Amino acid sequence: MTKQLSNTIRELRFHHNEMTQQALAEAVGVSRQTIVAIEKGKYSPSLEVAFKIAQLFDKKLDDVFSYQ
Amino acid sequence: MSYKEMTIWGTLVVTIGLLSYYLLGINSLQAAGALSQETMVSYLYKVVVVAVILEIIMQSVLAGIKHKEADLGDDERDKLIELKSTKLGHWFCSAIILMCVFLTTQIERVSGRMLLPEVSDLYNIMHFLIIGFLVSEIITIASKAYLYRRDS
Repeated sequence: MTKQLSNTIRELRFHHNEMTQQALAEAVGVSRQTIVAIEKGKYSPSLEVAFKIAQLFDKKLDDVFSYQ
Repeated sequence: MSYKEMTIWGTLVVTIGLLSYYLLGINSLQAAGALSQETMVSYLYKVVVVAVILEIIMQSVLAGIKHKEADLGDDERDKLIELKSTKLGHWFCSAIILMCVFLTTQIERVSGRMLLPEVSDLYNIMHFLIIGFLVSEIITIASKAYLYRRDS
């Protein structure tokens, strides 16, 4: 079975004052379309962006991203 | 639709338009019996000028509509898509160049039997290269459009 990268960004945004995709994109320095693609699991971000997202939500990397 | 995608679709339309403009122009020159090396070169200059003008107009209009997004640079996903699609276009362009090299080695066999008998073999190869270059651009841009759509 092929493993896939999934994430909890949508949920984390919701619990973070319903942060918009645009606000998250600006905070980590990517476009809104990239956030959309990451959330849908269609694009795997670089480690740098993954860490930026995790730090922004004050979470560990594997609380945000999982590979299963 | 994002500024990036709009630019890609705009560039795709412009490039397909340019290829059509070039082919139709050469074809009508040929049909009118006016095709020569001089008319071909002057038509080519005209195509280049039209290409530059159309690209400037398109970029300006899109930057005017989506000025906020136009100021943003490429992020990592944009760069990855750029890389993947450029690689595809590069392979096609390389194949065309190799075909032209092969044509050059066989020039005595194919001389006078090429697409445009009114001009020299050298100009026929140039014609082939121009078409190949524009088609490889279309492949590059179309694959970019596909990759942006697929991941969004």
